[in-house]
Amino acid sequence: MNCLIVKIKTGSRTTTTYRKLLSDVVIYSMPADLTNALEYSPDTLHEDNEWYKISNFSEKSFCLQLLKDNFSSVNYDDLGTNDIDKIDFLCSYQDDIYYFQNVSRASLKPKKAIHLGDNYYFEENSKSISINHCADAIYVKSEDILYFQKLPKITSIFKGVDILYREATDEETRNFLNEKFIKLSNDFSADKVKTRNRQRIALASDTINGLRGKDRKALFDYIAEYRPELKKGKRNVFAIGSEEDLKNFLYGIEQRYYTTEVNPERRIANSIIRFEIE
Amino acid sequence: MRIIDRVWFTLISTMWIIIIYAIDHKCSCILGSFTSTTIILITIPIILTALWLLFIRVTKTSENISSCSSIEEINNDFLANYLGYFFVGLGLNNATTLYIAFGIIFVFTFASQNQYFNAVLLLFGYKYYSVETGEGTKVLVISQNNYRNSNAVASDKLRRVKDGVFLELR
Repeated sequence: MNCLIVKIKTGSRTTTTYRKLLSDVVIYSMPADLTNALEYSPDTLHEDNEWYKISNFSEKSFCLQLLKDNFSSVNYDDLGTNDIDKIDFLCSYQDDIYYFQNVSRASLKPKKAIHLGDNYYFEENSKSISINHCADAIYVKSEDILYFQKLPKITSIFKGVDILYREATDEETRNFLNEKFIKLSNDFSADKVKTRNRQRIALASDTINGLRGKDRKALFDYIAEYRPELKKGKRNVFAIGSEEDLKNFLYGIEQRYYTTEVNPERRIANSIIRFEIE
Repeated sequence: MRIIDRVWFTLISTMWIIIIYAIDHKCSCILGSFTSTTIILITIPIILTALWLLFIRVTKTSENISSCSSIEEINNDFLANYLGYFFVGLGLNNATTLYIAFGIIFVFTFASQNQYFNAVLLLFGYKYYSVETGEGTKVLVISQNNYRNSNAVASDKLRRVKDGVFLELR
């Protein structure tokens, strides 16, 4: 049983409304390489064609009710012509797997197009939705796992999933920069901190708050070893005067610096994947 | 497309007024005899309904239903409407009144949601069920199966007659 439904924007925050578009069509196909999907974490970067996954998706707060219930196409009325402009995203249900694709408002605007087929004709106001080669998100119900390639693409479908990608708020940034172990210089302040560093601060404050006493000292010694230019006289205090300094310091807190075993070379880990030895 | 569908179905339902009127007034316009007129008039709705079933099977795409939470058989609710048509047919005296009464009833039936009740489908073995799906949506399912338990209503051979009304194919 295959069915394509769309979510339409109704202006209501509490109810989600879907409409049925088509049945018996196979629109998306499963990508070949989902077995190598990585569990999503903001500091894990993946290669171009790799996928992230979120396991136990139905337990998360941003999971859609649609995915938790059994699918019945009878629940949804047909899409009316005056609802076309309200299309938010597509959801194709194919054999117990849900494929999602975002639809932007721009793509719904009428375009001038030449129809190619048995006859050729020019259409002034043609509307159509292009189907992407890969779905933006794929939910496999039997495994309860959501697969996706880019987090920003799914934030409008699954509202709240960006808590996985949390940026530090202004207050959190200010609190972080006011900590005892940081001394600001060059008029550097919380308002000058940009997005990428804000994301790192969110993670770093969690890390630092989890360390006490000896561990903290060990961490600061480690940072001082790799970034001696950040040290300023007193032990356990670092001078931060620019975005670059802040970035280097945050990398230190996440212990991204390492020296290779053979042919010692100092490196920064751009992306980390956590694993456990079984 | 949808308008044609509704007109067709309204016609099948309200046609009985004309048929009963013709029988009451002993019309013998078709094939010259009363008996053949009666027989042919009665078979017209049956043939139209059969055509309609074929139309739905061929043109509509499939729908599915799973996990229902409640079910109710509602054939009896509509029977009163149907008997109404019969009594109207019997009560008319002349052709002019017939046309006017038929026209009014046609318009009202067309506008209402009950046009999908058709006694001929009951003859074919279909029953009308009002079902609530697991998500809380109430829909009408027309099916030849005997359903007593809502959990048994799970099928992917449905056809959408209109939003909220579905026909189950064997």
